[in-house]
Amino acid sequence: MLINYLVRLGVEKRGEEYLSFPQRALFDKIGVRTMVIETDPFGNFLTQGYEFMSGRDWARLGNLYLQDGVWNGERMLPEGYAKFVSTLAPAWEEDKRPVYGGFFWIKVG
Amino acid sequence: MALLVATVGCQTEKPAVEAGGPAAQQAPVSPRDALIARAKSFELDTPYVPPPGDPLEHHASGFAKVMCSAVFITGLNPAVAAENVGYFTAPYAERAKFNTPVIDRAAKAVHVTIPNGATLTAKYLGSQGCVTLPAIPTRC
Repeated sequence: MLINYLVRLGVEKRGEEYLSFPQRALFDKIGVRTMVIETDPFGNFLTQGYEFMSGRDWARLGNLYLQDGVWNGERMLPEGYAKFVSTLAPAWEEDKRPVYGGFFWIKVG
Repeated sequence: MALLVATVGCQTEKPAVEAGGPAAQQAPVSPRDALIARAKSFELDTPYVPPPGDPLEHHASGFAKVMCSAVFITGLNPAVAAENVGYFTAPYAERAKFNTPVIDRAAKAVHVTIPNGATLTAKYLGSQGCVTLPAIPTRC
């Protein structure tokens, strides 16, 4: 929740509209039309779940990561980010539970 | 945010410390116990303070929210959703304490009433999905 709020502060500091930010900044560019990111009563995105979109749109997001964050030649995610999210996080390695990367559950083996 | 790369089921627990040798005197430590011990080592020395408010109201609010999204966004049958969806937000055991959620399709809202009479509501607001609303106090 704290990260979500920091994102809100950053977006609004730039004078941009917060609630349409994900659609403008990412989803429009990769052809996602059905994403709903739910908010709390104060209009802050929840994002630890509570996202809904069609299976085809989830696949579009998956394709973005499969393509290392590049879509039609345009880099959408920072270089190395796709590798970061799919790399086992140190704390989970320490706990011998090799299931979580950077915000992503990962498949082991 | 996304659950893309895949999910993994529960792991079989094996002793982290094998019996035998000098360590044989110690009881084996399961991975789960080792995990909890490591987490405890990072705990701050402060008393636990639960979130303010009535826990039952929180659970009811979560149940209304899960049901609202399942019915008005995903399009599930309410009975199927109540039985199968969203245990993280609304634990299954807690659901038994409530009456069957009231689905108001005209207003696109779900109401869950708890035993003390308060009603928790989640309302579908279009592109923002379903949002929980403050509890409506008991009517006398």
